Amino acid sequence: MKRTWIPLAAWLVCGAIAVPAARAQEPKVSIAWNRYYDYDETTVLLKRLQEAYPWFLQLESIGQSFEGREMWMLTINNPETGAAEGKAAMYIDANVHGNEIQGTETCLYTIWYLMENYGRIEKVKELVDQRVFYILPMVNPDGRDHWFDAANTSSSSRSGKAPMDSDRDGVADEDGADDLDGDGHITQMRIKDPEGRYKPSEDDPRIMVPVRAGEKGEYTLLRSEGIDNDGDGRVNEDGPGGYDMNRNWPSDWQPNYIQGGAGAYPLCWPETRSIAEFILSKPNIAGVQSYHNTGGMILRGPGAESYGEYPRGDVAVYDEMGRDGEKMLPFYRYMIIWKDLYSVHGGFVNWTYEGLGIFSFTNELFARDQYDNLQARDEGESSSVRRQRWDDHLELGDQFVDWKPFDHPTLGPIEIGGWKKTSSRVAPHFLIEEMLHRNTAFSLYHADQMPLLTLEAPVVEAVGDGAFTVTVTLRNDRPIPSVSQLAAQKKIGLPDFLEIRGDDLQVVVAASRTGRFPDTYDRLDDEEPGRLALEQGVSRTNPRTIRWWVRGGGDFEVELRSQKGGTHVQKARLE
Amino acid sequence: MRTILRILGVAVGLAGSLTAQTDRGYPDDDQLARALREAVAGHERRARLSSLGEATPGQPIWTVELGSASGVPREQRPGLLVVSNLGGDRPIGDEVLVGMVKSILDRAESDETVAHLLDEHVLYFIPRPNPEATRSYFTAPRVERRLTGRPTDQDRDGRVDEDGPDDLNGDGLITQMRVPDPDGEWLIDPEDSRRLKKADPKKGERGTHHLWIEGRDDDADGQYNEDPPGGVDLARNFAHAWQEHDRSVGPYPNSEAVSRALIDWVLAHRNIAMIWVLDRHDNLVEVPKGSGSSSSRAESSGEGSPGRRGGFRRSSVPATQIQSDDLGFFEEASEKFRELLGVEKAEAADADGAFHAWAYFQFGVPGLASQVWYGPDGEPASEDESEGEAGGEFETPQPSERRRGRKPTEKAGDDREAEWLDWNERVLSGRGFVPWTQFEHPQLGTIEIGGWKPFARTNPPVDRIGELVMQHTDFLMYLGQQFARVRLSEITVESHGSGLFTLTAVVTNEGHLPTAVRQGEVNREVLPVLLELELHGQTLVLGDARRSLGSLAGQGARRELTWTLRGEPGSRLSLEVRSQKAGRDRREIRLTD
Repeated sequence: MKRTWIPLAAWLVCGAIAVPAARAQEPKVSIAWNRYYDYDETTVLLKRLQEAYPWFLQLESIGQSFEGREMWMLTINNPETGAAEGKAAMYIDANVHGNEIQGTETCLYTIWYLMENYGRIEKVKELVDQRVFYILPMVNPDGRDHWFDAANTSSSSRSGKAPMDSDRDGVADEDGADDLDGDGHITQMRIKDPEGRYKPSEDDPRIMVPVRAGEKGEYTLLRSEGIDNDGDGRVNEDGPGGYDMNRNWPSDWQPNYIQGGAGAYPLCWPETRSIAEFILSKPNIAGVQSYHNTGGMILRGPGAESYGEYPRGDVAVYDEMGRDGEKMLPFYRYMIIWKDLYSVHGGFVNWTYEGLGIFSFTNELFARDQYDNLQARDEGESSSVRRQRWDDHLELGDQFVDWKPFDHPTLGPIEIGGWKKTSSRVAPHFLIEEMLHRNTAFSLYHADQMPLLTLEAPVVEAVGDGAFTVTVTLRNDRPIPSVSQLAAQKKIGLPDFLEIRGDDLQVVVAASRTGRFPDTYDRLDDEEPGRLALEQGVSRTNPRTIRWWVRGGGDFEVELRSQKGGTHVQKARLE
Repeated sequence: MRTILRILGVAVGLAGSLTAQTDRGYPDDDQLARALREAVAGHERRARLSSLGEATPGQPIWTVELGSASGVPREQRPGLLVVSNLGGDRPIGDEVLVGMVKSILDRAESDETVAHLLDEHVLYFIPRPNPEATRSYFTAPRVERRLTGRPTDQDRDGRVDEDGPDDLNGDGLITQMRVPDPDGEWLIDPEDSRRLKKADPKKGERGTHHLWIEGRDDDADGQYNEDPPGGVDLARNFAHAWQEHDRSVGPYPNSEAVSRALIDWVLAHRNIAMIWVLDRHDNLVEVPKGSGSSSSRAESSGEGSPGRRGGFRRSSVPATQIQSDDLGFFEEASEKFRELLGVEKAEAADADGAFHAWAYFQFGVPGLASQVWYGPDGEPASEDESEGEAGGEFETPQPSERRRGRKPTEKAGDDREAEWLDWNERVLSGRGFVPWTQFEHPQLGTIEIGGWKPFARTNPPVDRIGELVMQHTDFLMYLGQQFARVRLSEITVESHGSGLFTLTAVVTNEGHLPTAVRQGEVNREVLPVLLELELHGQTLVLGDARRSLGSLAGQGARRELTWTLRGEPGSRLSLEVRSQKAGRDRREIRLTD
């Protein structure tokens, strides 16, 4: 894997960073948050941000896409408060489906917001100083770029660009949609047909409605613009790619015949493989968000009913965050993927939680209900009519292409028209910034729920003749435990380790405080009582108090080492 | 402790080794490369040696292709792939694989059937894709291992590969330790002090010993040899029923460079119609059960209830048992295999994550697995102990009248150990087993070291190689007769006058296997048989130029197709039938009155 590192300007020390004044802020990096950015523009924005904030930001490519685009990964870390690997990290990505674009801008906004407000908003400083953010704005840069640059629908260019023989005729990608009228959009085809089952709506003739039994229709709908490129009698049946990179992850991965689009095997594509290797190399990742569109959802697994439910303690944490999310994101609902949406085998957030034990959400950005005023809706008005009216009144008709006659090479005279790709799944320009901010706020909230461990100062008591007790208490001030219940059950990753060390210190025995009674301790049978493995980690509801009976004297230190909770050291003296 | 044993790839009592003189029987990496080159030398017309990637830096994954260089390109002919020693602890598989290559090439010189097989088909051979593990056969101390080199923290203590086995008694072998301990779960068998048996509390028995792998507790954590070097069992690293959260199967399916290279190579060779793996798995002696019904069983009761958002549930689970339609092939192959090897029973490993299981369930071709050598089967002691020295030279065995191995005596499973010990005395003159000897262990005090030598029970004495190569070559030739084979068997042109013609073609599968086994249809990995009419000025009246036939059953199944077309009398067109696993056939047709 080739890694392109943008060198960190190491000489630019913390002191050189200007602290923004309290008055109305002049942003250091100006970015318009009412539009979307293609691959090249996003690359430029990432570089501009990195160059503006080199102390905190590191930009690298973790691999190349199938067509050779860079997989940009931006790390936010304050080196002054420690190396990235020693802090709990929030991983955020977006745009695994090439057409689900707006998560990319959300990622950019998150970086921008944290940087522009560091030193101005106390909580931002706290998050940046205590946490690490790994942000990958474009999981599928090929799909994104094609969606921006070529004629598409709102749902095409979802796949990556590795050729795939979707219709099993021995040839790959030979019959995709075609922009027949050359207007830059893939819209719909309809043909006049006395036997047709559709007619123009009486409310709005631009809308096609099915006829009732016995009623005579006027049109047959022919779906997306295109021709039968390969002469097999079918139109648009084998377009570019045709797989789903969000069904390609190792947990509950199922082959294509069970889970369409799954790929030949888990992580078979360069994009998914690069990301998996990155995540596996960062055991400090304690939170995951993967932005999609659309519909206004805060999704968590399981992806399939056969999984059952997650462990109770973890569900309680998920529920707390999901419900808080619903309050932050109007029109969004906290949902379980298989139960409330549909079954997904081999989904990304399924892998990051079920495989790696990391609390993970997928937000489906933008709900169509955000368009209009719910209270003012007309009784019985159809959603199609409403949609035309939104477009007419709020975007002045920008998103709809009126039906126009076209002479199709094999079908003869037809009409082409319908919704553009920028309608429906992505937010309209005037709602973009709000969408970016609310989702950023949810991910920052998520990051703030990651484990925040405290190792309190050891309490030393002499118990006679060179023998002492050393008592330490470990706390987690956040809802996410340092080891999720699932990780403890499945033995994922490492337990937390609590170690006591001193040049002249011999541990006799270790014990853990039982329940709430101050002086009741259970003996710990660890083979190495000076190096305890805490399989359950440390959770908010369960602070741990550990006591060692030791012999010796002099200085010693206690170290708590947690993959997702950081490393903490306390020094003391036996006396 | 059980976990630790599995990670090491050493079932206690299953490890072992041969004596020094027979050790030379199995080739190291250089010897294997040399043997492959020698096997194909002088056979350029029919053989090609290449590499599909690197197993470790500088160490190729060897690939041998056998098939006549002339005629249809090899990658378009129905093919058979043989892979040996994926796990790494069965170099016997490599030895037999190379022997088969040599044997097939030699036979092709004089045997019409073999020559014909190589004209029509391609045979691929991939030996030892996991050389890292096999190297432990050649290093001192010798230890049975089947893990790739990926450093792995098997005991989750934050330290990697820090506590592997140690050759305490300096005999060059990693064997076992009998550690006296009232908490132990093993008892020394009163009938045979070489043996240990599990104490059965129901019979009032109490354990007296632990049985551990030879070594120290290098990291002083109270566990012995729980985090040996390396990490992934390649034979369980594939995508069918991969066991997530098992610490020895890799972080994800095909996580290892070798498994990924192998799978990518197979996926790029869709002409491969059968796969046979020589390793620790088996479905040729013990035929697995078929699925009584279709693979698409409902995951949950009901049709799938509408979700909160009006979505629907996909309700199917992947096949994990052989489709009943395909079972016949497996049963026939098994019958032939058992007859050839004279073996009736196998102790087979679970097929989760196994390559042959992936081959069938996900690649959609018959995936066969056998162990090459199935342990003591009543064979007589070798008449001459020096016979073992013949090994490693890859001599082509001559078909002989040597009697097939006898069926194993029917005994309770527990008595298999007795058979092994008996075999060790009778056949190996005791060379496979280190007598238990007292040893002062630095941490455990007085213990005993001994037991089966590494590899003694996974790889046969080298004097068996010649016979095994012959038997396996015979079985390979049997498989070579099973390919599906599409033909355009009858073509008729009927003229209706006025330039109108009816063209009728019959496509026949003249082979034994169907053009796609049922699972290859179910998983949609095998393309349907395709028929393409190439017109030269004619126009079709009825019928498409390209037609998909689905799958054709074996043994003469036919399909008749008809087109009506308009064309100049006397004009020509051509028709081609193509099948991924059953080859292709092409006919030039003339529109005659």
